[in-house]
Amino acid sequence: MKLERELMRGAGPTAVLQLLANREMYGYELVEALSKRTDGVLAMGQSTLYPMLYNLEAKGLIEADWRTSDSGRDRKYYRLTGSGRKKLAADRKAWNALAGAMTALGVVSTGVEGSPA
Amino acid sequence: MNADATRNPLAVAWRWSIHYSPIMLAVRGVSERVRRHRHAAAMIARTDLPAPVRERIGQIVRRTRLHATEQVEVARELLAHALDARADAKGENEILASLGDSRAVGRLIRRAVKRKRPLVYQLRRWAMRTLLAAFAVVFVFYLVLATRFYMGSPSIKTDYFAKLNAPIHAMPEGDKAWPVYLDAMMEWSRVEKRLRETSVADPNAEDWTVRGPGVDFLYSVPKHHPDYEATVAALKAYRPTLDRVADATRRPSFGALYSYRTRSVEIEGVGRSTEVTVEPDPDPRDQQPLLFGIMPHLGKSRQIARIFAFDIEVAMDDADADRIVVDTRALLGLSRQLSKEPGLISSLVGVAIYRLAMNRLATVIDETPDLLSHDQLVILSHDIAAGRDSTVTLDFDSERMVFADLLQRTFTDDGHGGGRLTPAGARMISELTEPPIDFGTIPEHGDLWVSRSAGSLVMPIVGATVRGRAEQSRMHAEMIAAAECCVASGPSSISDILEPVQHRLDALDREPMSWYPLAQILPAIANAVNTVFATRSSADATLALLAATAYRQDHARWPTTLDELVPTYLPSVPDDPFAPDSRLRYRLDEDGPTLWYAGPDGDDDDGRRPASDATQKLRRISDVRARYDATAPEHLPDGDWVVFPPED
Repeated sequence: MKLERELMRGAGPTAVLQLLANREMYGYELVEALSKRTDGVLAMGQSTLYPMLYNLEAKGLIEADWRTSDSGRDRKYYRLTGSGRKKLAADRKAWNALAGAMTALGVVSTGVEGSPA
Repeated sequence: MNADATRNPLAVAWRWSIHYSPIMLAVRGVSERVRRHRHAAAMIARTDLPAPVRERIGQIVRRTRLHATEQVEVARELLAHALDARADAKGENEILASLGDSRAVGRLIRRAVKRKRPLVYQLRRWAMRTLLAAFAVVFVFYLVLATRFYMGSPSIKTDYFAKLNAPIHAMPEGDKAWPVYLDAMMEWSRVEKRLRETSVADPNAEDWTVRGPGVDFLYSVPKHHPDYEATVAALKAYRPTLDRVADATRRPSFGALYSYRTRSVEIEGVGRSTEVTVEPDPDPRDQQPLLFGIMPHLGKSRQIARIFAFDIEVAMDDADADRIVVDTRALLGLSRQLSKEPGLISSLVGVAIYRLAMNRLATVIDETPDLLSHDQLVILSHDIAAGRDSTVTLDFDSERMVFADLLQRTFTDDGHGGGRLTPAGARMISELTEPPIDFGTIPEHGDLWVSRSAGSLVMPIVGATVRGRAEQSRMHAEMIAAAECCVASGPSSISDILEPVQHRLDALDREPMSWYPLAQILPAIANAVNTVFATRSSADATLALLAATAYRQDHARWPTTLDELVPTYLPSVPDDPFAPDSRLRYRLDEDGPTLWYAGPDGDDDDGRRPASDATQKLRRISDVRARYDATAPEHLPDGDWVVFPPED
């Protein structure tokens, strides 16, 4: 399942920040992680990822530098900044609240009642 | 760690501000465009990715239209991504799908990378945007202004020429003096021609007082001039004509048409012509402004006055008292007629001729105090007294008409006294201004988009800054009323009335562009009022002098004080306009009497004249206000205004 564009625009940056919260990652790695760990829901191509990364960088939420990997290829590694961590914390709160609200409304399934009709 | 982050932020800002400065951008110009493509393209070409992938990445990078370093950075990252994908066994189509549409991606990346640029760049970008927005607002505002300005046209309804000339048209021909004056001056032209032809004077003489024909110095031909005798003889031969002119000065009106149109009248026997005014166009829309009305008769009047003044000198030498009386009364009559003519300038010429009459009388009494009989002195006193207030005044009614006419030709008319400056008005203002403002070619109504001249672009702004018709009209009316009131009330009202007028004039001077055309019209008024007061004070002193002369004839001595003249010879001793509670001053010594006013410093210097360059200042009665100034300005000249004896 693919998300609507507007939903992706809201969820994508938070998802990227979350991935970078644990360790620094390069572009392709991020794409793969997003695709696999969300079962394709948040899958995005380069056309979406890089503009998003540059925007996050412009806002000072992430930073990056070029390094040569073990395979010998140059890769640009991204990591969270202090501001990025704060933003992620705020986003998580917001998403939790949203998920709670959606659950309460029956939009989000808890796994007990099954999918809403 | 980003390398930039470790540097001094100020140094980074400085480097970026230089990097993105307009000059550096211009210098880099085309070469950078070529270089960035070459660098990014070379990098892409060096990879062994499938050609379609390389081509797509190349397209994306080109469409970002970023700076060279930024393009290289983007290309490097997209390539790294594609290589990782290929290493992860992703197919060509999958990689292409991931790259997306090159146009859309290029635009998204461009926006995002530009956001990453440093604060200096962002500030500059916002400054440019703000500037552009402000320019757009100003431009729209200007367009509205320009459209409104060029749509405006004056509504000329009133024929002020007809109003001014109506009394002249209604007057019987026999009541008009101007035809007699015109004939006399044409004849005088023939006299002048003969005098010039027979002149024995050296045209290159070192002494300018004898240089060239004596007739050129008619106002005061020196007796040692080689042409003096011939000039006097010619003048005496001209006296029958001069008598006709003197008779004409008793007519009710000058009677010259006020117009901007003239026709040439051939002067028989002289080989040149003179100009006389003719009826203006019947439709006021075709007429010139009233302000541009010409008065060739004023020049002729001055010439006539000079001839009479010279005749008084000649009559004095001949001890011809009757002639002196005729000539003096003619001068006073001429000044009376001119004071009734339209326009401040006519009034002022009339006042100047009135003053000339008094100056000549003072000279006659100084040199030959016994020449004029008691009766003649009384006659002249009556004439001077009669003209003191009626002749020595200013024609404010025509001044009002001049301004009303100017407004109807320069402003729109909203029907309620308001209106705004029109293109035609702006053109007229540029002609009024000294030196003329070059507004370029101001387009006629409807030609807004045709004219590209700078003047046309500036005019709407000028139009917007000029005060409205109602405001200018009100200001003019208030100031004319103040000046009129001041003239009626006398010098004592200067500080209460004229000074506020002067302050308003000063205010107009500070923002002349806002007050066109008012600022062009008014400044002469305060000076004109001053001239009236000075001439009236001069008249008062002359009346006292004539009274003292009459007293001398009756008592075989000059009075010791002016009080001796009151009430038999003089109703009262005139006030000194320069010193409150003081009167005209008088002293009798072995050389005869001296009459003087204190002068604007209000200080009696016992009849001592000031330095010659301060003489005019001493007659500026408006300077009397300086007395009320606690700082006591030191610029006022020391000395008195000595009315009698006349200065050599």
